[in-house]
Amino acid sequence: MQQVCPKMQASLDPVIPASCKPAWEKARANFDNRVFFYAPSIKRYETAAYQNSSHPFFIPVSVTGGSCQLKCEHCRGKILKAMHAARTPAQLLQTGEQLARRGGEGILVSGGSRLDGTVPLINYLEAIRALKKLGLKVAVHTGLVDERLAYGLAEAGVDAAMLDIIGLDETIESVYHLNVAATEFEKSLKLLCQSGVKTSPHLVLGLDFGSIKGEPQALAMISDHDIWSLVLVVITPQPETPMAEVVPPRPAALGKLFIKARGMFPRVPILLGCARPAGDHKTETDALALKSGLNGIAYPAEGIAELAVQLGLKPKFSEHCCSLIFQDEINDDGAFKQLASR
Amino acid sequence: MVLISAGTKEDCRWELPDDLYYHKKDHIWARVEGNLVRMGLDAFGQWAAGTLAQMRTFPAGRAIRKGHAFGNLESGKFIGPMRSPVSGKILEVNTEVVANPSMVNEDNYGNWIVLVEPSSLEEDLADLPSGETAIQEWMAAELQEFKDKDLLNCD
Repeated sequence: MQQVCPKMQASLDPVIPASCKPAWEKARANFDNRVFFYAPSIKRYETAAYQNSSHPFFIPVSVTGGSCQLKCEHCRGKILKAMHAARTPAQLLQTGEQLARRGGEGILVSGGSRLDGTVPLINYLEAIRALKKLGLKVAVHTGLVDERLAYGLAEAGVDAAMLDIIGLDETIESVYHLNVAATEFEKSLKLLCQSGVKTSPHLVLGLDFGSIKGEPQALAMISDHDIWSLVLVVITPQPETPMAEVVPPRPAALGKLFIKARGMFPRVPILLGCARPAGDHKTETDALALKSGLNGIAYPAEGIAELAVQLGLKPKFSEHCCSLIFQDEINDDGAFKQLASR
Repeated sequence: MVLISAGTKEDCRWELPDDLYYHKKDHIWARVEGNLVRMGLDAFGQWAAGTLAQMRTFPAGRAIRKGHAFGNLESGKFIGPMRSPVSGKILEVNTEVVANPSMVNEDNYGNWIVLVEPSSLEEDLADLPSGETAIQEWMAAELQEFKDKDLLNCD
């Protein structure tokens, strides 16, 4: 049984607790001393360590606007409402052209799900190809995919495909209202990886109404595939959703999963993504992420970049989407992965 | 009261009382109450930030400086400092609001954040927008900046 860093030691104290050391040392053995911090322009971000430009730089776009047929318990489409709407391929292309003209660098193509867990992306492949010709980086939230979409995304040249992986059938049913097995998500992951798309699975920690349930199974599923980065996010109760009053997992519980993930994916960049509870919870979680050897954090809490320096790490800030770590900060041919494989 | 609007969306309408003073960038309002100043987040600021999730302030008794942070905020669209329109000392923190920052989204002028004893009030207020004309001019520039940055999603 893995132990988690004690709470006191997981704060901004620049000491790696004994229980975190194996994960920390694994990271140091397989990666250099850089740690990557991300602040995409969807949020204005200003801490003592970094201020983002707040110009549109890497923007999220929803191909369904604010609508989602699944209406998952934790979201009810609220996350989509903060995105730019592009309900037709022409609108997506127009959004990309505007972004490129203003000096933006990338688009996250997302959208609400249909009742079968797919996102209506198939008609957008031509537009995505055109976005790539504009020189934009394109990351895609795929939802469940079939062979046609997986290979279509690869041919269109997307930079990263992102897919939530859920470990338990019961969570899929109770949270996503989706009548498919967890293995269907793994099949989609497999198809994306086989197609050649650089795939960055996402895991929502505490997705099952704040409880840690299927996360170990999800990590095990992911570990069978050749992924390029792994993004961990934390359930964040949204107002006016059935999960508004849910209590997210405590940082200590998240720390256990960070350590587990680092152990299972010693050479894959692991990121703590955008979504997680704010405040002291965030500070403690972010500190644990650093001490557990994760490679990057989106919107790090105040003091975390300073802690990284105290731990001997070299912070690098970017306004890109964190899942692009493998190409974003190093080069475009997977050098991060080569670095990790040394 | 100055009513500012943009685009066609109903939520892109903001009321800014013309008897308050404003920190131009952080949208912190300052209300002079005798010898004291009460501060909070203005209507545009709370709109731009989205639902407030977390708020921290310096404690009562702490000296603060104009243009420097007296606390910070985290919301759906913002992570960063709240900078003070005036220098002085924090006399009181609205702990209920700090504990439940989304109260600011519900009533941003009623749910104040800190009460301050100012140290150089007249001087500090001199360059802050207040009154109908100054507020309109400031907000016109502010809206244009948001539009240029593609942050004014009001149509």
